[in-house]
Amino acid sequence: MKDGPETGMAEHSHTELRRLFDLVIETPRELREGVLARECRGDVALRRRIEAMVATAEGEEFLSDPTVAMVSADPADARTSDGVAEGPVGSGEFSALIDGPGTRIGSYKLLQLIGEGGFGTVFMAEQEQPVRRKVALKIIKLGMDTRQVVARFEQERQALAMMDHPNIAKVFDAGATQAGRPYFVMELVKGEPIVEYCDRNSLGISERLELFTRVSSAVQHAHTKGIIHRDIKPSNILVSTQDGRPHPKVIDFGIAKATASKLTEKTLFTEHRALIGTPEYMSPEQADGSLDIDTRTDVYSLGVLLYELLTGTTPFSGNELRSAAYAEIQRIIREVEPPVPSTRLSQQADTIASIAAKRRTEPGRLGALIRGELDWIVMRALEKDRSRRYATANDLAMDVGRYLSGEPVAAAPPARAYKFRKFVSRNRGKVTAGVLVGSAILLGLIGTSWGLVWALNERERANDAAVAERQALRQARERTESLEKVTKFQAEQLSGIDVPLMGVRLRDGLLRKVRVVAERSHPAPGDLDARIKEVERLIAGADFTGLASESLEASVFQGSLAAINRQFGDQPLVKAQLLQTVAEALVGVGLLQQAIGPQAEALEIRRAVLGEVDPVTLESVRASAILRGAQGKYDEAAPLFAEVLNKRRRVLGNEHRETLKSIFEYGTLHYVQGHYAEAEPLFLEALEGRKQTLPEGDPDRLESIRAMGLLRLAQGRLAEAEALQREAVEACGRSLGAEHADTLRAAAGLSDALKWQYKYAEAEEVDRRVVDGRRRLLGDDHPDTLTAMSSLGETLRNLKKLPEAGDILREALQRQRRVLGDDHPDTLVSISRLGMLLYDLGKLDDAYPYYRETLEGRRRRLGNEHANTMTSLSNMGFLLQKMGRLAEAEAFYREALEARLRISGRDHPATLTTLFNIGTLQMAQNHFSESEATIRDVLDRRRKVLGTAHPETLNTIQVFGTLQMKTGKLVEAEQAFGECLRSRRNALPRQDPRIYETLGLLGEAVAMQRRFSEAELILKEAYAGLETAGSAGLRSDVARRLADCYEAWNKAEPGGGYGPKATEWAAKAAATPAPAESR
Amino acid sequence: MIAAANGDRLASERLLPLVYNQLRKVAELRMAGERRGHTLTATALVHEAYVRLTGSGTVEWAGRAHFYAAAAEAMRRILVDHARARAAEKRGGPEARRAAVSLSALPDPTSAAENSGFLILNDAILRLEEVDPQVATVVRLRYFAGLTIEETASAMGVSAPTVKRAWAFARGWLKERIEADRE
Repeated sequence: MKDGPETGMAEHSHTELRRLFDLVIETPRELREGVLARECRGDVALRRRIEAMVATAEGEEFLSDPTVAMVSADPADARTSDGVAEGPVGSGEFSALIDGPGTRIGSYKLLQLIGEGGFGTVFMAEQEQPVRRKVALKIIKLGMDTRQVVARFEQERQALAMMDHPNIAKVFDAGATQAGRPYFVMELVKGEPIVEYCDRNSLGISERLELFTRVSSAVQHAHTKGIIHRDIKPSNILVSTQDGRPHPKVIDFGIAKATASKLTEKTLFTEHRALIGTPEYMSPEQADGSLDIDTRTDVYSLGVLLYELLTGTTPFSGNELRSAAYAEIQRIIREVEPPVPSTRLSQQADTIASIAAKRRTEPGRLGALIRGELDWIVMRALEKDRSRRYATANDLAMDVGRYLSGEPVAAAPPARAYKFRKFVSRNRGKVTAGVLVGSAILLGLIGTSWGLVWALNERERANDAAVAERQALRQARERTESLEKVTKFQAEQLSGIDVPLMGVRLRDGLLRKVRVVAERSHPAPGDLDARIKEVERLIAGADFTGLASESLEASVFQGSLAAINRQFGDQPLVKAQLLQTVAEALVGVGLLQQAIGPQAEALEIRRAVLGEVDPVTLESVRASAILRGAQGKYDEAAPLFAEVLNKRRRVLGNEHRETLKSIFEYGTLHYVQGHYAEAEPLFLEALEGRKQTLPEGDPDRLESIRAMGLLRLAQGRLAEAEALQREAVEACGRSLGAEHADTLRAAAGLSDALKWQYKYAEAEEVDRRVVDGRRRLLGDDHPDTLTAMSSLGETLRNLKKLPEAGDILREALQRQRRVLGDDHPDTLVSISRLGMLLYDLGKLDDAYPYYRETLEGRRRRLGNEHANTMTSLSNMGFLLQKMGRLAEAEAFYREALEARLRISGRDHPATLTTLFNIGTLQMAQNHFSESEATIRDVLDRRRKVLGTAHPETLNTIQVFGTLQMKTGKLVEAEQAFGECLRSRRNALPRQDPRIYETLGLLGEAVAMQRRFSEAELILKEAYAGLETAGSAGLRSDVARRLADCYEAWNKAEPGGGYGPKATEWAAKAAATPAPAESR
Repeated sequence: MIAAANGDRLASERLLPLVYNQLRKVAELRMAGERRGHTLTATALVHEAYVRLTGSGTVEWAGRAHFYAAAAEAMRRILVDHARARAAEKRGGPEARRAAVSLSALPDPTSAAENSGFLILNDAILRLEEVDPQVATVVRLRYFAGLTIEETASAMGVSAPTVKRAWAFARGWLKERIEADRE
């Protein structure tokens, strides 16, 4: 920041800083780049801050490990041991905690501290047994498993003992100090690190080279004994002057291996993996964390040493590496080509004079000496791909020897052909992507962004003719970056492919082509349209979504799978990542069967290379679980989800984003199976955790709110569902915009919650918003648009706006039949709704085929236990009941009830609807006592579940009253109607016919108790109320009751004519029965 | 002392003078006798103080968590007192700052630069306390009382991964703080 770090620091809230820091440090290094880019967006200062903090936290220097494990780490234990408690201070085990001069370790007595390094302290010590001699004793810092270190040393002990070379320091022994720290005993070597020695003594280039060949030969000797050093660096090569000439000794052989932790034992997550060794001298394969380290790793480090001996700097400066985040360090070492030594020298304008002076030469002369063959030798040793390096340390030493004796060296400048090969390999990622991109464009899916990538490719290709060294370097960096970007982009695009929409476009395209072809034959006017209609008829119901999937598979996925196998066969982790991407994309577009292979392979590779607990492996386990879930193999998915969740809980803690995601997903698995009780605690935990740890607009958080809303809806906890969906709509709207697909999805959820609560007026408004938004966003034919249209139609039907409802439902259905096919669940919903509309219009016989088509389709597509199938059963029963086919109706109701009881339980609103229908059926069958028991049960439960004022509850009360009246319990009936009336008057607008329906029933109950004058008033009010709003049936009923009342009262009708009116209305009512009550 | 175990918030404060006195005795003994280059370890000092206190039989220990909180604070004060007496630069020049960011254990009692550096680190820890008390507590227990990750977790009643995360964050934060203060 321009204003200094103080200002920059103040800009980010501490909470945000911690969240980001935790997120980044827990992310595997290779993925951090993406996380940082995503989380910091354009905030470069924040990003740098996080990177620097993470680097410190993972580095070794600052506050690295303040603790010293004690023999007994628990002071309470010490208390119980009298001997310790009463012993003299500073004696016994405590003094051992502070190893210093005078301390005795095994048969060695520490004499003097001679060095301190990144991983330990070195003392000069005196050995007393079996021979008295001075040795170097290196005590390894804590934080390592001593037993393992010593065990690994023991494995190599014999090989180490066989090393006998004047330029290699012997390692005698290893063990554990009293404090439990591992130590090594080595030949005591006097001298100073090779670089300092050369500089202090101003050794010329050839003297340096000569010294270097001796070091290389020593390393070669170790290699022939099967020992790899793994940590060659100047401080491990000590040089002293003997007999007037420099004498190098390589120290610490065998120690790096013994102290290196195996990646399989210490994973990224459990320990923040510290890069072993010094990054400047680390080979790409070591930086990669590869377990496959061979002698060529030492060749690389020798190359770095040679680079430094020549130029005074390492290929990558220590500062550059140390200031970078770990992922960046790895990337640099693996990918970035350093400048050749002579170029590096020429870049150091300000220091070159002193560098040259230390080599007893002039700056210009030094550059000329190094340029050419020495450049080649160094760069050959520094090849990223070890198969291109010198095969042995000896080859390197011999090539330096050739240079010294004036012979041509074996290392060669990069040839044109070689450069070209390099270029191709650099661009492989893009070529792969190109295949994908090309297919996608052909399929007409993706717009300009792809074209851009394509053009960039072309430009780079054109420039390639003149690749300069620096450009090669830049391109190497770009290659890595673009490979990452392209992979990510590819994954995003693939997962974003809307296969149904693709199907729609395929179909439209086909029809367009057919028209063009047909036009060529100059058909008679009208004939063309007829032909097109014929084609449309022929292809109606063809599964274009399936066709789109097949094209995708054949032209995109198969190609990319083959390319991945071909090009990344030797890079298992890259291969696994790409396979994982493809597998997820396949799942995303519904090609589940095809996803199984790549998914299994990705998981297998990661398990083998990274181990079981690695977060990257867990990602693959998770993806496998999702795949199984998508296949409907819930029993196989469950243990996988549980595995990921448990490991994440253990390793990441319960509040980590990834853990929360796992909790949510495991909950979702239960939810989709209808196991709401199991889903609930998981959904709640995820929602709670996400609300606490994530900002408001976070997609995960929004997802949790929406899902919780759906669960509440499914559980019939409607008010909660509505509140949650509202929260989701508002939060989505604020963070994504009102017309974002997710906002619209949340709005659709809200509409469902409203509809279940009979808040149709509000639902209409929401539905219209969703339909309009999706039309604009997705087009008229998109399945989601059609779903929304269908939903609006249903709302309008319930609002009795029947003509508009009919138009919309017919349009939606027609498009759905065309786009999705007749059997698609969404199509079936619209068929069902249109059937109910026909019912509402009184066209019972017309409605029947729709009801039947829905039920059969759902049995076929969804199975008998699906909620929608059950709704269909219930509806079918209701229709048949109204058609007077009572026995058939009861069979359907019973089947629906049985399934709902099993799946949703007795208190679920849908179960209660079915039960209620059974109660009314029993009443129609004159099975009054059974009916009373049923209705009473429904009423109790609806009061409890829906509330006392809920329309369904009131409806139940009214039916209960009717039942009482039929069995002659007039007082109870009057009481029920009275209750229902009071609630309806409170809740409904004054002209709502339902008030007067109840009033009419109340009047009848009063009249039957022979309180005629009272009944007359009530019935007249009911009649007046219905005159403006009521249906013919209701009017007829009330008119009939008035007439009956006067007759029973033996009183002349004041206005007269209720009897004829009743007959008249009844005739009209016969054409329009009561609206469908069941959904 | 029972109060300490009973979760009396003031218990560790009441404990402090006792622990402080004992710890100082131990530390002074050590610091006086040490030669340069010899690092103190908090673990050893605190452990020793603990053993002396408990071994004397005068105190009934009920809980370790409070002891550690007190010990950490006592240790901090001892080191601050010592550092103030020995520090080369009271206000912390570049050398002290360099020393501050290279501290990987308690300061070498004989090194003026490290003592100056320690005072800078101490300031940064107090600043951390203001913005994030939980993380600062982790630093206190880890750095001043020499507790391991697991011991810190059990003393604070949180999970080990939580402590590990907090500790990592603290290291990054403190180093940044110290370096940012450079004019």
